[in-house]
This record gives sequence, structure tokens and C-alpha cells, in this order.
Amino acid sequence: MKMYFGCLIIVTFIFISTKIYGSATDLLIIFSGEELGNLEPCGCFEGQIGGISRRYALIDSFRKQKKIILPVSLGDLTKSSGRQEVIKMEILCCALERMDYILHNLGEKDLEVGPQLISYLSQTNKIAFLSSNVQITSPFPTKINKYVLKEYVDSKNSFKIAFLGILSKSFFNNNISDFVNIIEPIKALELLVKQLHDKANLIILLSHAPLGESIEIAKLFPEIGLIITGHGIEEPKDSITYVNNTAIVSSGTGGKYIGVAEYSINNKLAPLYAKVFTKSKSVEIIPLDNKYKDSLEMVSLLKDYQQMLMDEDLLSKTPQMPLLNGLSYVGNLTCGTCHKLVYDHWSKTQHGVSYNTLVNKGHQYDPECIRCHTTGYGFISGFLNYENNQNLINVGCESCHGAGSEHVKNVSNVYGVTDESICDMCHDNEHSPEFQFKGYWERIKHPKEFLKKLPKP
Amino acid sequence: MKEIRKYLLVLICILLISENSYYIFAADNKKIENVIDEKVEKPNLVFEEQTYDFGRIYIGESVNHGFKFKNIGVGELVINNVKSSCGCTAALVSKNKLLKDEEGQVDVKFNAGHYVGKVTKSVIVNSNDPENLKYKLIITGEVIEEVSVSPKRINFGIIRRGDSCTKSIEIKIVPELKIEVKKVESPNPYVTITQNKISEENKYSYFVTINKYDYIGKFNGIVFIYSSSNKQERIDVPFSGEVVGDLTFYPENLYFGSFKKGQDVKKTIIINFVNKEVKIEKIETEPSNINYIVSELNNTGTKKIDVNLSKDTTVGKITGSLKIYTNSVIQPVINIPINGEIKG
Repeated sequence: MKMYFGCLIIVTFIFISTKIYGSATDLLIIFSGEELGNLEPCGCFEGQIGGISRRYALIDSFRKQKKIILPVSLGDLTKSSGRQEVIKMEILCCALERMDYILHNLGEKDLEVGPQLISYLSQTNKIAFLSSNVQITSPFPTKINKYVLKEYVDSKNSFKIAFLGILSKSFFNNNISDFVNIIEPIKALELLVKQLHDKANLIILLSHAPLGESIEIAKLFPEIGLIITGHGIEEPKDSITYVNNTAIVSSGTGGKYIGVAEYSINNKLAPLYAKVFTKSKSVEIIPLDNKYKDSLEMVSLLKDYQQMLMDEDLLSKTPQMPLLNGLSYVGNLTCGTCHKLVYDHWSKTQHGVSYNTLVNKGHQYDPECIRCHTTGYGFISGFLNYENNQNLINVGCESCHGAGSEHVKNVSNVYGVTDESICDMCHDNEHSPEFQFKGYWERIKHPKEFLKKLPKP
Repeated sequence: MKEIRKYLLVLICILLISENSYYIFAADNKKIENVIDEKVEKPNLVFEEQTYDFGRIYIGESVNHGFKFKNIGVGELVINNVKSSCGCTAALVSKNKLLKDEEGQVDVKFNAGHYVGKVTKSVIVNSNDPENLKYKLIITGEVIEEVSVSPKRINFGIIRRGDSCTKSIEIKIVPELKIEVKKVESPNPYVTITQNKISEENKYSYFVTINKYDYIGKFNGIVFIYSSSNKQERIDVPFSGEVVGDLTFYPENLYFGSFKKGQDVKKTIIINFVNKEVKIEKIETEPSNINYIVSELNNTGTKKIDVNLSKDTTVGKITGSLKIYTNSVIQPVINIPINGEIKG
């Protein structure tokens, strides 16, 4: 009889345990950051990863699994200032809003875009702008939250997550000093962590700081359960670090990866053993590859972006620098007048049709793309827009050999000597990772010409 | 009854130990696998060095380095591919299948381009070595400038119309290179540049002043620094800022983007009053199916204008404007173009 009751107790215990664990809710902290203006893979080569369109699809897949998702943004949506960066920031904030992001932590690049834009976005966007140690003193009213507290309530219990955000003082530079005051992060955190420790089941810090600084913060504040960090971390999968129980994670740069920290919230245990909740089940860094289909909503937003670039005629508004030694571009047809054989060969190469590759993708109004698909963009006398410079579309003769105005005036001049360092200007790792001079040279190598000497004018 | 109890007890015990027994059996299986593994001929990828420190290079220069490796294992080593992180390229220069004691090389090229500062780039060698499926090579060093300018871009910030604003730039030269700063200039007629004499050698300082800009709005331009450096003959320092009048507004263009007919899309304009005496007198929209509501933003004096389109707006391109009339002498009318597209 005793044995029977013993067994019954064991069975009951197993049953209760299963029930308790079975009621756990999955909560996903989804993190991204340092997009640096990368809205989508530019399409220069197959296998590029990243982009808001795939990110939307990934987040949507979690949403469909009926998990609680909390997407957060670490900062640095753009990489510098200027009109194109402003448009990108608007588009990215709109994208984050549509993906149900709850907050955006301020990075130094966000601040460089300008106080007026930050003010505008903080007042009109649904996403909370976060910074525990940045004070904005511009004449434009700006809504910055020192922390964000999120509470989730089910039928019996509630749980709370506090988000803090810092910007490292080491990123402070002259371009943001006019309207920004940065408090020492540790000083700012001391007060807030103390204040939030009893209020929240979990404290998450968005640390816009170098990894080393974030590790130091983790040592000083063991109350923080998760630190989302990184500045210039290119391989976020390798950078996951633990300081005691605090996971320090990054989603890398360029919007190529998305981080997901999974928590199991046990509604029945949480009030009794709050710490059970604060330990993450797993942290995963997911590359946004072509496994994720482009979302129609983001594709539409990206089309709006290209439309804005076109409507504002941003190509023509980019400042043009003077060329050294008073040189100017003459255009492909001028070169072709004498170098017919070379011109004919060139027009059949990828360089000779590079403008069309942009047109096919609908990116021909994007100043960032046009630079490597036309001749002399960004310089006086170089490509400015299609209407005025059809002679300078494509990667023309002068893209590799330099502006040819002096050569046209005096053909006996030494002109055209070039080397592979010129290729690197466009064939960089970001856009052409497979580039090897030897193989690529074979694709564009033009025939040698023996030109007759022109009579002196 | 006793029999049933006994069976029940046995069943429960089996259930309880079944999970643990899995691990026991699994561990045993692993031991067996390991014994078999030791007999299988495995490749073993060994590099002479894992990290290469190129020290210091100048901006625009590139570094090449060959990482030598050897297969010291018994089995054939297969290098599946070599992948590099941003900013460097890598290639396997030897064959990708290496027998025991055969040697190979991975060539890594780092091109500094315009990058300045400390750099750490990695290259992953994917192979069939079971102990090193992904071997990480590191190339590290520092890229320095012959002529370094601080700041890299000048932000004049927000300037009241008619005011002037001065910022300074510092130019540092690598002492041993004996480079000269030849000229510092800007083609912008509102910009004046004066040298600030400082006692430090190999260091130059200039004041860049934007003088009484009449134009209201954002401005930008470039300061050109000419030097005797071959690598940095001319350094371009872009500048930007904004001249404000009695009021500022954002955005300067209102984009609705493309959306479906009947969809409720709202856009917002925010108006800040620099001169508190200035008031909005009236607002006009063109065409008339553009609606707006004006409100005050959290008692700050700042005005918020929410703009939307009537639901009956026809399918097609939206081209219009919103005109804000004020009592300001210098900004009596603000014209904000409106664009978008309604799809059927």
C-alpha cells in the first residue's frame, strides 16, 4: 500500500511539473542596430544578406507563431549627415514602426543627422526614442525616454521588462557637440538601475558602446540581464559574451543579421521566483539571407524611397568637386571617335552596360549606386543626371584612365596609365567580394590599337 | 490486485529511468564512435600563424599577406572555401585538396581605401578538418594619414539669419614626412578662412567662418586643403549647417508614398517658432481634397499640422502643396510640396 502511494506521489509530481512548464510563454527580444543606411542588399552580387524586407519576413514569422515579440533597435540607423541620410532615416523609422519596434536607442550617427529630424521623428513616430545618458538641448522639442518599462499581464500574473540605453562618451565628436550633452554612462546607469531593480523582472541595456565598455558595465551592474551592444562588430555570431549571468550580444553592422534572445516566462512561477524569468533560454544571431522572402510591405516602402530620390533629383544636388589640375571629363563617345576598336569592345563588356543594370533594378536615381555605374559622378564635368550626361553613363574609359580633357587637346601627352588600385574604388569587399584582378581584368581587357598619328592642327 | 500494483510500479520506474538511460546509452555509443573515429584517417589543418599584424600603413595603401598552412593529418584535407569579412579579400592560392604533409597558402589582401584607424579583419577557412571546420585567420593593424584633419566634416549647426559662426579645423602632419600645407580654401563666397598661428610644429590650425548668410535653409559646401603629400594632394572637408529665420519647419516635402485608395494615411508637419511673435495667419492647400488639422505640441508653442487626403481622392499621382501664411516679414509664406500616388 505504501509503495502504491509513493508511486502516486511521483506520478502527481510529474503531472504538476509538466503542467507548470507547459504553461510557459515564450518571449522574444528581437534586436537590430547599426544599419548605417543599408536599407536592402544593393544587388551587386548574389548572396548578399540583410535588408528591411527580409527582416520584416523574419519578424512576421515569429509573430505568426503567436510568440510575444519585442523588437528593439540599438542605434545608428544611418552613417553620416546629408539629405540622402535624412531620407533613409525617415524610411528606416517608418519600417521599424511597421515591424512593431518598441524603441530606438540613440547612436552618435543618429544625432549627426541633425536635431530637427530627431525632434520630428521623436514627436511623430510611434517608436519610443531611448537614451539614459544623452540630453538634447536643441531649440527643437525632442521626446527622449530615459528608460522604457513594458508590462505584460495575463489572467493571473504580470511581468515587467525595463529597457535602458546608453551612448559611449568615446563616440562623442564635434559634429554633435552643439546640441548634445552626454553624461558618463555608468553615472547615468547607477541611478536608473537602482530605481528599476525592484520594478522590473528583467533589465535590458542597449549599450551603444565598444564591446569592452559593455563588458565593464556588465561587471558593475549584475542586475542587468541582457546587454545588446556592438560597434563595428562584423561577425556577431562570434561575439556573444557572458559576464556571470549577463549575456552580451550584438547583431553586427549593416543590418545583415537579426539577434533573437528567447525567454521563457513562467506565469505561475514568476511572482515567486522572479529570477527564473530573467535567464534567457537562448540567444541566436540570424543572417538575413534569401531564406526569408521579401515582404511586400517593405518592397513598397523601398519603392517610395527610390521615388523620393527621383522626385527630389538628389543626383543633381550632390556637391561636385573640382578635378585636380583643371582636368575635365569628355565622355565615352569622344574617346570612341579615335579609339573605335576599343570603344566597340568596351560597349560589349559589363562596364559598357553598367548603367542599365541600375535601371533594371530601379536604382538609377540613387547617388550611392550611381557613383560606380557612371563616369565621374561627384566631380565637376562628370555625370550628374541622365538628361544632361548620356555620354557619361556606364563605367567609361575615363573611369579607369582619368579625365581626358588634356589628352583630347594634346594627343601626344602621356595619358591613360592606370593600375589595379583604381578597380578597388568600386570593386571593394562590400560590393564585389569575389574580385580578383587577374580574372576580372580578362573580362574587360581591350584590344591593342595602332593609331595613325593625327596631323597637327 | 497486487499483481496490477506491481506492474504499475514497474511501468513508472521504467518511465522515470528511461530519460536517464537514453543519456547512458548515448554516452556509450559516443565512446564507440570515438574508438571508430580514431581509426578513420582524419585531416589536420595547421597554419603557421593565426594572426598577422601589418603594423602601420598609410591611407589608400594595401597590404598582402600569405598565411601558410599544412595538412599534418593522415586523411585528405579539403578546403571548401575561404571567406573574408568586409574590407579585405582572401583567396586560396594553392589547390584545395591536400594530402598528408602537403602545404598550401591563403593570400589575404587588405585595402585601406579611405579607412583610418585601428583595424581587425578576419578570414574564415572552411575545411573538412573535424577539429577546425571553420578556422579563423586575423589580419590586424592601423591605418594612418600623412595629413590628418580634425574634424572630418564641419557642422556649423543652427545659425540665426544674419549671424556669423566660426569653427576651427586642425591639420596634423606626420613629422618625418616633411609635408607642407599649401593652401586652404573654399569656393563658397560666404566662407572666409584664416590661419590661426600656433607654436606646435607639424600642426596647423585654421578658422572657418560662415558670414551673415542671407539664405534661409540648409547649406553645405567644401573646404579644400591642398598639401604636398602625394597620397593626399587635396583633402576635402565638407561643411553643413542651417540658417534659420523666424520659424523652422519639417519636413520640407510631404511624401505620402504609394497607398491604396480608401487607406487612411496621415502625414505630419512640425513648425517651430524661433521668433515667438510670429503666428500662422492662414493655411491653404492645393488641391482642395488635402485636409489638415493644426494643433499645439505639448504646450511647447510648437505647431503640429496633420495632413491627410479625402477618402474620395481619385486613383493616380498626387501633386499638390500646402501653403502656410505667417505675419513674419522674412518668411511670409512657406510652401510645402505634396507628392504621392493612390493605387486602385
